[in-house]
Amino acid sequence: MIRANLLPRPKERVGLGGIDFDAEYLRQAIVALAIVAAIALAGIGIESLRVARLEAAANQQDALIATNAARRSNAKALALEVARYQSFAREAQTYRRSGADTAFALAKIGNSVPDRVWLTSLDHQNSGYDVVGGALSVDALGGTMLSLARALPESNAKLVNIDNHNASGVRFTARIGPSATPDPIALAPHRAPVGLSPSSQAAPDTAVRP
Amino acid sequence: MKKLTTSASLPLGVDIGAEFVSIVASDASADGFVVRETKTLEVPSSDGTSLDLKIAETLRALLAAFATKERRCVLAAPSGEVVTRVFRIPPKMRRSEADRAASLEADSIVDWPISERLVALDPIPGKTDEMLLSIARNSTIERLVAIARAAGLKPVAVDVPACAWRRAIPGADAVLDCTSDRAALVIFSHPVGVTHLFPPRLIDDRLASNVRAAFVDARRDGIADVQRLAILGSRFRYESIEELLRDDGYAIGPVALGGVESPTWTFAYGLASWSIALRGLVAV
Repeated sequence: MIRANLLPRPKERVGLGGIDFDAEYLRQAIVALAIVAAIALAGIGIESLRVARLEAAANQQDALIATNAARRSNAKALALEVARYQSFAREAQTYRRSGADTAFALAKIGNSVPDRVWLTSLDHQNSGYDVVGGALSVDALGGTMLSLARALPESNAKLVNIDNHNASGVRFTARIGPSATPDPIALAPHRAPVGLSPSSQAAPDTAVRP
Repeated sequence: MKKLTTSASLPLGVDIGAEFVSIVASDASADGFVVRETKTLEVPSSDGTSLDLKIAETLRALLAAFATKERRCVLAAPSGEVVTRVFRIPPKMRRSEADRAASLEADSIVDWPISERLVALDPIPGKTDEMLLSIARNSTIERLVAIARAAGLKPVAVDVPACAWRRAIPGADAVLDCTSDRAALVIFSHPVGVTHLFPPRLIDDRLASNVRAAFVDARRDGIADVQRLAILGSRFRYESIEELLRDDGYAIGPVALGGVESPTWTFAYGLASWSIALRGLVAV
């Protein structure tokens, strides 16, 4: 048989430690705490397992390192030897290249001398070249300095001395060296020639002395 | 030698009406549900303001004549102030969730403000996925409880009238209560049924017509196909209505409890059986 009860029923309460709690809320709180505790325990378990595995792997690596200590020492000595021989190889390469570089520089300087100009001596001194030569006219000397400045990369040409002889032309001394602060009379490669025009007469003799 | 089987006093069934009050005292024993005492008293006529006081005084006088010391009681909400529905519960829904859902369902059934209504969910025997949703006016229940307390009673439940009628008269498909000024017809169905409150002081011919129309509506709406009608009322009125409805083919009979025909405490008897409703004890 069916029945009903419209009388408001008091909420079920549970006494804990002298405090009354609503049983429904208490049940929900206990369920929530149980879920949180389960998640925390699962997290702790997973983390412990991970730490244990990492420690085992670290111990294995330590043992491997200790086992390979002698071989590592030999490899280190071998590496030092290799480094020393590589240093020797680099020096030898430098020496080999220095001769070739000088010959290349001399050829470039020689090829850069225009017509009606000749060189009587060429000395390699202090990372640069001292050039002594002659020209049929002073005009030809300007073009010569521009050509000499362009002959070698990152270098400039500086006219050191001019000795004018009307009968046999002009004697000059120049210095080709690494680029530095431009000297008032140094001619940088990028400067346009001013009042210098090449001569049509060829140089009688061109001597190059390394 | 002391008997091992003992009887337990059950809460009193108290029928509070504006014209009569009835009380039924009962026990539950191993043998079943036993009615110990029944009494009915007429409420002295009074104006509307002192009616509750008169009812309480009548109840107190009635209790004084009872041998039992039991003061727990089961009351019934007025038929016109209660709405019942079947409330379907999804699987694994918790009680608190069901209560909240029932409150939302009540919003769509009645337009009373939340503060002015009571919502109750009670189990339906044999059904695990359905509950009985009852909605009543808060003020009505509070008034009933206040009257009972004023009379020295301790209400433990307020039942839906149709449930009490069903427990009181289990063999009928419908019951027509003509004891009060305003006749009421309860048509039983699953889980409770429907209640029709007719206008007061209807003549028998008009009352029979209304009953007939209610039966037709119930059959049309699929509520119940009424075959057996029990009538509670005076002998004279019973015969008059029975004669009017006889040709319709219904099996009509007077309400009879314990050899008493049409007892005025029938409804109180139904309320007294509230405590043993779920246990299914048999009345002896």
